[in-house]
Amino acid sequence: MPLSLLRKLEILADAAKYDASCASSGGAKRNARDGGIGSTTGAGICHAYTPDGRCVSLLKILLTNFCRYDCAYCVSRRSSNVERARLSVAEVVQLTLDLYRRNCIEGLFLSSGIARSEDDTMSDLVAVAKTLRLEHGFKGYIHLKTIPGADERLIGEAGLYADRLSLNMELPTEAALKAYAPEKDVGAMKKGLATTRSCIEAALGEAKPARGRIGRAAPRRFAPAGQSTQVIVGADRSSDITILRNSTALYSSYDLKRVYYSAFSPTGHPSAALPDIATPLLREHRLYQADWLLRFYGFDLRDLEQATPEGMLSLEIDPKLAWALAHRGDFPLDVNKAPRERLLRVPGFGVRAVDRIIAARRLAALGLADIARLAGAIGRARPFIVTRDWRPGSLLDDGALRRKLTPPAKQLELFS
Amino acid sequence: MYWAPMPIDAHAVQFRAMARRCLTLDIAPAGVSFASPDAAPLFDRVPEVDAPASFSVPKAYAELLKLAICHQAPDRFSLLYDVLWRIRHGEASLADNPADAAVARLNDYAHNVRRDIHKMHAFLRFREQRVDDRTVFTSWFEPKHFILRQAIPFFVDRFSTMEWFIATPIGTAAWNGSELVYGPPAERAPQPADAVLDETWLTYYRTTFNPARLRLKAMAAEMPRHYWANMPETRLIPAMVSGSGRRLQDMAARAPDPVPGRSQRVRPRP
Repeated sequence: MPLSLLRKLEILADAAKYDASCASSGGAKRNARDGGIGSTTGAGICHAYTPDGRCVSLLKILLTNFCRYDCAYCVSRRSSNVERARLSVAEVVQLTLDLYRRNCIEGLFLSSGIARSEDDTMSDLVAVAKTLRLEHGFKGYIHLKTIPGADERLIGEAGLYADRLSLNMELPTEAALKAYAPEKDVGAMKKGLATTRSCIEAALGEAKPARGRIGRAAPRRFAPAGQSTQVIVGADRSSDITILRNSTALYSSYDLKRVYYSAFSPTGHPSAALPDIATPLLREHRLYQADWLLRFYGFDLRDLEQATPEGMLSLEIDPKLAWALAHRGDFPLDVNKAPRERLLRVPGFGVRAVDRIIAARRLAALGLADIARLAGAIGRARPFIVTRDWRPGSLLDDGALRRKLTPPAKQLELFS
Repeated sequence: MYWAPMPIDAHAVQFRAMARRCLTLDIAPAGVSFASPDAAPLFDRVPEVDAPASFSVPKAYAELLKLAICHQAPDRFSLLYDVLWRIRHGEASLADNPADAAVARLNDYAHNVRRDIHKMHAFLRFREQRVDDRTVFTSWFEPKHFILRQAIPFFVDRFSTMEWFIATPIGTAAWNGSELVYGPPAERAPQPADAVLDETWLTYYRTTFNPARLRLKAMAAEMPRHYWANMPETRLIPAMVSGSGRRLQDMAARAPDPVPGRSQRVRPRP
């Protein structure tokens, strides 16, 4: 008996949910005032949240979970006993439009197992995006996977219809890939990321006005929201620093918008090579914090290496606090005088808090209460700052400071 | 002391007119009470003035006014007037100072209003209905603040080729494909069935949840309970949560999959 559409949706959404990417932001602004349907505002919208705290922004599904590969960490590997299904191009298009018209989603996130050849799979992904855009005038968000080893021309076509392209490295080192995904061609994966990068850059280059021309040509759209990748955390034994070193290389080599970290999660279909043991979600969270420090707070890899002697980020305290405790000589900072890049190093101060402090201190010298209001909270920052009415004194040298700033271990949320 | 009547959903234009009158008459913030036009008057109305003062306000104040006035807190009008008065009496850049208590409070109101607008864009659900021979997408939504006119242009941009009707306790908006018409407050009516929303969407929502990552606080922080009543998927949450422990135990107890025979035959293509 053929599977119903709802059953196929169930199988293929279940297989796609281990991909952490949900962004629907960035890229060109569009609307449906001139026909078609849909819009993108530049900022993404999360249309719902599930009890795992993750947002539902895009219809995230696979075209098929039939796959010729046998990657140990993947629920769709060929040796898994999971039920298989395949959606047609028309079915994915219909599901996307149906849910979009009810305002349930921002658009589509489409990935696929590799059931036939790499090129066949990539062609099918492109066909879905092309049908949505050209036949239905769909202006919503589309995120497509690029398939390692697929023809460059197909990737070049995918970027014309998709807002974002992504190719998951999945493991942080070549050795780990060899161990758990021995059939994957690391060279083809890197080439895929590089192809997308050069297509994006070529499109941006064309958009620059030619010498002597007035005005500028409309930029050719190529994946305007850029490309991203994902790394699974805890499937192999790589340390946090190894993972972050790999991310730093990926960001700089392929101009990625995001590296997503996905804590290895049981699927119910364990492989003999990889036990179904969940990675603590807190480890994933600390990696995101460290990734943010590297990209938005002026930290470099050496700063983090110094604060993580064993190569692992502390689960107890956030990586900025860990760094500050190891560099007490750099503090306290006078919030009324310190430059922006130093303020960004104060534990508990986010980028927005720092910008608010800088705006406010132009008008009046700030006290501790002002900082509490501007930063939202003051607990972690207090020992590291000087204000109009506050000096930390010996608090900063207190041997027990780390313990005092460690939040009490959270009680696990009980299954009710 | 004067009484400045302000409708509960007053918008920036109405507030500006009243504030201009008060400033022309040199009424200090402590000398005026902004209250509903329906309230029993305790004081004399702010008198009419023939030629109200005309002046421009700093951009930061105009931005703050546009959003903060939509907040439901009764003191928003007096806070806005207080800040305006001080801007006109020597503190020109006051609206830029987030350390000022009144400005901080108004910033907080503006933040909550912006969030409410965003949540309306996110959490409103349409149901497809046949009305006569037309397809109309209808919705009932309950915002926290008076945001209808700020939130609606988004739906015009996104669903401009659909016919839709949005009803809320603070007014309605109808779009027929070319024209937008606002109407008076509505009451909740039974919602019509819609197979996509009631089956496809619920199936997807249930499936995309990973039981190994239960984080209820994170969910509730981003999806406040206030909005749940009009989101059909939220009624699945109790069963999803209570079933997740058992699903995890089942998964933990599973031996590695027996390798399906098919997998012996397929390999990546060279």
